[in-house]
Amino acid sequence: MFKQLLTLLGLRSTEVQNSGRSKFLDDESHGRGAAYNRLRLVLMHDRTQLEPHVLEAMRDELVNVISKYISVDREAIELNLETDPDTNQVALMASIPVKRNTAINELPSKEGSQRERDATDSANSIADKAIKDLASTK
Amino acid sequence: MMATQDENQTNGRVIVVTSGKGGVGKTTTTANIGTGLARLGYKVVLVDTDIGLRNLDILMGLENRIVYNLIDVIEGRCRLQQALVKDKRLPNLSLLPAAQTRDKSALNEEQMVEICKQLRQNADFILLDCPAGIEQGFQTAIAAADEAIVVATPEMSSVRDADRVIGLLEAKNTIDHYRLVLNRVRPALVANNDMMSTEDVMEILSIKLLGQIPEDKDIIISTNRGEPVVNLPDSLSGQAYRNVARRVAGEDVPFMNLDEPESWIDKLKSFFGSGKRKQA
Repeated sequence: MFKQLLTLLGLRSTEVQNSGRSKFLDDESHGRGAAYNRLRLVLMHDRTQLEPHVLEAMRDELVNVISKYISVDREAIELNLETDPDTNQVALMASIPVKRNTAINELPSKEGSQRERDATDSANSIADKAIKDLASTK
Repeated sequence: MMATQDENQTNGRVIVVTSGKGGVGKTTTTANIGTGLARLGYKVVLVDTDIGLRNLDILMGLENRIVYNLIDVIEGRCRLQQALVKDKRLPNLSLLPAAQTRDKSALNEEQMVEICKQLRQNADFILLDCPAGIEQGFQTAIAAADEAIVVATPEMSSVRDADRVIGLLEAKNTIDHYRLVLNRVRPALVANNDMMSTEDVMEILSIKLLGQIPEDKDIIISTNRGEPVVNLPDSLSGQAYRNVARRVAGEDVPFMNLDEPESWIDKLKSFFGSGKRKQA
């Protein structure tokens, strides 16, 4: 009601209400969220000249390494190339949600969790493949 | 022999107006910011660097008054002063037209820098209307500039091209700073989440905002009449451009509400919760 009164008096600004923002970004049925999300990906590619599949591979490897030490929510990980507007420095920003039942200080061991063993296995197999590739090109 | 003055001693600020994408409003923006600055009392020269496709003259309504152009000056057929076309209304505003019958190879970076050096001595602001694209015409225009204004619309292609241009501006260490003019904003579409907001674009591009200009039919009408929209007191886009000119001159002007004024019936309706949504 108060907001409507302000509108009536022409006092509302056109500033985006940040609380509603994350909602539209997930909702791609309207153009705004779709454009925003697509642009972020396209520009990440444009700026670094990294092929999308290379970016994906880098993301998976990073996730695997980090998963060795802490439990992360793999689906919710975000990787972005961002520019600091003041210094114009480009930085790779990663948002990695950590699961609550994480024992952050434990190093992976043979007796470690299944997840840790899986993570280690896949990290090892990627390493193995890389070594094989190197060997086969010689 | 006495020490000579620093050749780059600047009286005037040279600002390039660029975008990458064509048709987003570079020329309109150049004409209006230039006219806006002149209305504030500054000495302004507008330079059309789009050799072969000149348009700044049309927007200023000066197309009938062109005798010489930029290339004539470069090639020595006339003095710089002879090529400058004075504005119809404002004596402190003039235009250096592009050539219509040559192409962008007729002008190189050193020549552009030299022209601007001469213009600097007698003007407060020199605005360079840059051609679309990122090839020779663009490179030439940015070579002489201290600052840049990047013009974009809230659409994917425009933003993508603007990003590329910003990358090129960053690589150019003669350009001190650059800011965004977001053109053809439609607040109703933004409110409905059908169009990106100004904040979205600023965030994606990591760029500071110089101004946002609403979509406005006054722009079409004023172009047809050869009168920049800043001269129209009741125009929303004119008001936006007047604010931009003030910000370029260093004033801190708050960003305006872009919505069109609601009729009293709409106000009453929204008060009771059933009117059309207006706010972004």
